[in-house]
Formats: sequence, C-alpha cells, structure tokens
Amino acid sequence: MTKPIYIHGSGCVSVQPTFEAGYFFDHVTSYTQNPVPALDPDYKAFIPALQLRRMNKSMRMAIFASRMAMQQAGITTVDAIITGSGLGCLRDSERFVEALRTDEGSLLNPTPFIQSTHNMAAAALALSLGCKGYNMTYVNNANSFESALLDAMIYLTEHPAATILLGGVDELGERTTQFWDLANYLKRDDATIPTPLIEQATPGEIATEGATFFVASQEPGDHTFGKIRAVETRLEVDAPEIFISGFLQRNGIEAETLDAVVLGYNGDSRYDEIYRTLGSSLFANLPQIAFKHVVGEYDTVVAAALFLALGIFQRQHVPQRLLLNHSSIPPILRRILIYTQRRGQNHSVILVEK
Amino acid sequence: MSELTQELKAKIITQLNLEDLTVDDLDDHTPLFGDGLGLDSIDALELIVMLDKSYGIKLSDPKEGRKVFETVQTMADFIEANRK
Repeated sequence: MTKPIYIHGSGCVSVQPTFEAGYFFDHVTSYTQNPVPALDPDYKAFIPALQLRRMNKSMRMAIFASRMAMQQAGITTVDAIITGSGLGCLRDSERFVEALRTDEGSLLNPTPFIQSTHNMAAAALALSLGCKGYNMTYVNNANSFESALLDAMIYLTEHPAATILLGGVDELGERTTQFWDLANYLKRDDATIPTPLIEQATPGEIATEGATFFVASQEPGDHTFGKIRAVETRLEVDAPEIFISGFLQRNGIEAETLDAVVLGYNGDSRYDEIYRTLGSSLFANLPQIAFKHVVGEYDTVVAAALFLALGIFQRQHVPQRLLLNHSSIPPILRRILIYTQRRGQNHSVILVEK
Repeated sequence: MSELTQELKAKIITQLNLEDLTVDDLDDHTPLFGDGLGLDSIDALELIVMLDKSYGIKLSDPKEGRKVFETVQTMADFIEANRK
C-alpha cells in the first residue's frame, strides 16, 4: 500500500508562459497553428551555455522545469529522479533514423544517437545535479507521467526520508507530427488555442510539447502546497464512470466531497463526449475545470493538470478561462480529482489534496 | 584556403550547435579543445563524421585526430592535403 506524497515545488514549461513568476492562466496566449512548440524560457538561467548547446528541447525543458521546482522547494539536491515521457527525445530520434536511412547505416552523428533514448532528460538532470541515486523513466504512452507518479509513491513509501524529482516531458518531432496528421489525429484548418470545447469542438487535437516537474517527499514541510493521495490508470475502460467511481470508493471518498474536477477536454469532438457524459452525471454538481484547451495535447500533459491543481490550492483561485460550468466554487479548495484520457485510451485518475 | 577556413568555421558552428558564436568570432588559430573553444570527445566524433561526410576524408587513427583538430587552420591544411 502506498502512502500519499507531498509536493514542495513545481515548475512548468508549456505553450503558455507558465514559467514566468506569478503567471497562473488568467491571461492565455493564443495560437492559430498546429503543432504549437512550447515557449522558450531563458534556459541559460539554469544551464551553462556549453552544456546547453548539445541539449535537445526535452532536456532543456526538463532541466528548466525541475530547477524551477527545486528553487521553489528551497533545495539543491535530490535522492532520486523519476520521469515519464511518451515519446522521449523525438527530434534527435528522428535525426538519427533519418541519418540511418540516408547514409545507409554509416556516418552517424554521435549526438542524436546518444540523445535519441527516452531516458535522456532524466539522465541530463542527474548529470546536472550530480545525482547518483535511483533514476527511472517510464514510457507508457499517455499514461507515462502517471506511471512515474505511481513509482514515485512506491519509492517514497520504501524510502520515507528521501526527496525526489518527479516529472513528465515530451517534445514535438516534425516527422512524427506529419504521421499524426496522416492518421487524422490533428486539427487542420480550425486549429486554435484556446481550443473551442463542447458544442464548438471539432475532430482532431492540437499537438504541443512541454515539461512539468515536482519536488516530492513523504513528509510535509515548510514549502508544501499539496499532496497526491492516489493515482490509477487503465489502458481501456468500458465505462469511465464505473472506473472513476471505483477509484473514489477504493479511496473512501464520495464524489460530492470533491471541491472540483479537472477534465482532459482537448476540443477533439470524437473523444470529448467521454468528459461530457461524466460532466452531466458523476460530476454534475462540481466545478469542472479544463486545461488542455490552453496547453494543448501531448502524452505527459497530465503533469500540467497537476501543476494547475496545486496552483489552485496555493492561490485558492480558479482561473475563469479554465472553468467549464457555473457550479459555485467552494470558499476553500482542498480536494481536486484529475481525470484524463487520450483518443479513448490511457485513462487515469489522480486525487490531489491540499 | 581562406574560403575553406570560413566554410569550416560555419560547419563547426552548425554541427556543434555553438549558438553563441559567429564565423567572425572564431579565429583560425584558436585551439578547438582544452582552453580554447572547450570542445570535448563527443565533439571530436562529430568532427570526424563531418570530415567524412563533407570532404570524403576518413580519419581512422585517433592520434592523427589530435593534430588535425588542433585549430581551424590545421583542419583546413589537412583537408587541402587529403581531399578527394
């Protein structure tokens, strides 16, 4: 049985200026394109220029977000690094495969080869921090961050004195995005952020990228602003309502005791019906919050939902832009449930408490 | 020769992602490794691949590489002498 884990710091790089001090989704940057690359913070604030030049975007975003989280938590070292990434360092993977194809297996540049693996971001973090402890990357499609989170909870249950970095990172790749387009995964002419939801939703998603990292431990501290109580994933479910109700029951919670629910609406009319059904049944009387319509879709984007939920606890404020219904917001927000899926698969629920 | 050194500088900057440098910043005689530009062993591999891809020169002896990659000028001299 795992125990809850406490979060002491968080950092997020996304298509919104989530890395700027004081930013919290009250103003949203608009886009009319697909895919949308993440905004670049001043990476040199945390990464020496000589190291930065060889890092791909995943590594840059991961190091920046994790250093933000560590700065917020007031720490300089961690005991373990646990990450999730659905597609890893995609650009270097594409460069490596492309070179393999064009040069028929000879003359391969070493850097894209070395950095084409999924665990490169976690490895770069370990190198930059001098962390020789447990280092694990989970690659599990749109449940990659949740798998990392589950491992973080198990790790901290077994190592109660440890402080760890937990995060999710994914980057866009040009070729991969072309394949997604051919597979009709993406919106084309009507691609906008903020993405219209519910009645205005159209087929397809907006492909983006980002990194979100957290400092976590088994005990609360001076900087704590929330705890993750439980997480569950399912590749496929017959009825999301039964899956979520079962999760709440296993954690001894009634849906009515939740203060809000964060749902993974991304404006893809083919799958958002799943959230609409829940929004009019199990969550009908709760404030419903969306986030993918402003940060887009990628495999580990649920980490940004956790960043949002913890920010709501910290500020006791729900940005109007993210609120989906008119249910009254409780005066004190203490318990939020996050539910997401991607293309009808990889369902997950995360229970977060103040 | 000057044309080749300019071309080499541009290739080195692109291939090694030396984002803060321009061709004009890079002197012909600045050491590429150690106290000069501060390149490392992975950069050396990148330069070996670059020599092969761009100039058709295979560098099989690592000891030879130490001399060849000393500066932009030594690289250019080596390319001039061995270009196919």
